[in-house]
Amino acid sequence: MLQSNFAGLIDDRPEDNTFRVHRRIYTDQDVFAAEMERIFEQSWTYVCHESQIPKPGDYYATKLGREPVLINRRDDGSVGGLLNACAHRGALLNPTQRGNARILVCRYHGWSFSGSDGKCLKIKEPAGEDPACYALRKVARVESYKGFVFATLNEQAPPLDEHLAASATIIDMLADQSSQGMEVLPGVSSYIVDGNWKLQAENGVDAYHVTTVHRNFANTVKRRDQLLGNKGMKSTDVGRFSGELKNGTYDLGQGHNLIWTMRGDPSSAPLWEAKDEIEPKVGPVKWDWMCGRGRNLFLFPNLFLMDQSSTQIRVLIPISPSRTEIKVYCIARKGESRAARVARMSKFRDFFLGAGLATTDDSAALEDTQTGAHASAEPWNIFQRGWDSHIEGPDDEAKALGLNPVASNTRWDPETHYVGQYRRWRELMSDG
Amino acid sequence: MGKEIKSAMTDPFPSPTDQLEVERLLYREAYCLDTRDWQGWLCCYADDATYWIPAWATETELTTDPEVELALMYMPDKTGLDDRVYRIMSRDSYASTPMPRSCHVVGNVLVLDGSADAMTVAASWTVHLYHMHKGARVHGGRYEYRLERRDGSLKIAAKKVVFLNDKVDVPLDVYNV
Repeated sequence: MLQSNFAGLIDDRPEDNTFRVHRRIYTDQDVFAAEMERIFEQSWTYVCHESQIPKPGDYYATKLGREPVLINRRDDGSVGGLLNACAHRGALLNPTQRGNARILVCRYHGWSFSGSDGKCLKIKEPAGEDPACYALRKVARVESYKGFVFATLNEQAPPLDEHLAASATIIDMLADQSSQGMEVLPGVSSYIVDGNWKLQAENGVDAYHVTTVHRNFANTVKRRDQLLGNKGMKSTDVGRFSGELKNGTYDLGQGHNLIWTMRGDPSSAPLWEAKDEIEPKVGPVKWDWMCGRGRNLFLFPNLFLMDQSSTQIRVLIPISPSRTEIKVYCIARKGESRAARVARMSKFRDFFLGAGLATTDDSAALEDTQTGAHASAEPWNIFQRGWDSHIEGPDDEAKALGLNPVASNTRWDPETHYVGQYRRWRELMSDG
Repeated sequence: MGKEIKSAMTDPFPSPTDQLEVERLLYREAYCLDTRDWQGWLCCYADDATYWIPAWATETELTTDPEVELALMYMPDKTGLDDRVYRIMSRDSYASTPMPRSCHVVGNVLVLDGSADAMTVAASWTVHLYHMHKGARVHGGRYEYRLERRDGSLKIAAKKVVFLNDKVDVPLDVYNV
């Protein structure tokens, strides 16, 4: 266990309207090692969506911090997890990133284990060993919230509901978009960004950059929609890029936060066709949030659920202080029309991918921020825009929705929602 | 594929002239990309051309339906290619300014099927890149083309790029595949 206390790397002085983070948090190997130990291997992190492991024996290989794990569908239909290392000499147990194995057979020495509960079933050519004495260690806690699966190696972690805090209300806005449930569509895009994971965590809920970095995206798609005469679902609503529509941010507690903006044209959303199915169930206020507003939700420390022009699961996988793998999936309504699915996927490609027209620009900006973080003679990055529109607790919009955030902001381009993100980071990174 | 390579001696298609015409078009496209001759690049394509880089679905399989499954890029018509050029030429794209330097090498050009006016072609590619901050990199994969004669000249009617990498070093764009 590292003994350093990193609390001093956050300059948190609300009385002076000052909130700054030290650039060392993006570059320092000791900080990174402590983050792996104290955050990624101790607190709840997102692992996968249940639709990716539908059948008993299905597994999804990932990591909790540095530890390889298999998240699996057990024989009783529940979701569990096993350390992905043979109980014998530690070889990985899966040949593929996803697959189905009711029995996991180690490809090194042939030991076999139950793919459901990890019990050792058979030892090849035993020399006195008893299989009953061996098992794959279970991941301490694996729980699903409406299909989104979270896990932790920490037996003492609080209940998942407590971890999700006010963010559950926002997750519902995506999870409840179909009576048949949501599904992750085939295909994954994974890209490597030469930047610290926290820079990605900041960028995904940073509205302030939209009118600079994404001006180019807005101009490109606006021009195309005009050239082709695209209307409705086929068009991309770029009203949000102007910053002139109603918008805001929430600090949702536990390090989670949200930025949101009204959509200029809700009928451009692929969800629009489900109005008659969903609105009566959820009521007009929640429907307005689901379909009428774009939302970027960050769930500390490693997940974005984006519902803008399209719908995305974005997972952050830290590799080193200066390198992060980003895995993105398109999540969609089961049972939607082909036209809606095509429009959703088209807009997903436009914006979200490492080969898209917008995410590439985000990545370049945060890579420059990573390089700039080495400028330590002036060590502080500043997060202090927008205290004039900051509200402790819920604003009127949140009250109408029944959302109980730690804090609200009635504009989306301030930086006040980062305070909760970094206070949570400091809490987990402090000793004791 | 599994087909025997047709012999130029006995089969009228592809004749050595056909092969040369195909290679010239593929090399022209690569040359235009590397020299940033965007209008020249667009001229290699038919007006209704499609452009597709599928994502990997598993370790061994690519996604197969670009409309409803994930693709790294899919332009269902030439407007999509034009978008890319517009974005680069605007000099307002963070990731494209300055652009990485690139050098395409296209080889193993194999006419698989068709006639002198409409054919299927496979080729292999590597792109050597130099990115100002990230240094030198190499991308590689396979191209699958549908080429068709339009107003007398051979044009790209469909291009599919198989990109070997699962994990993409950003940015990925038309100039570095």
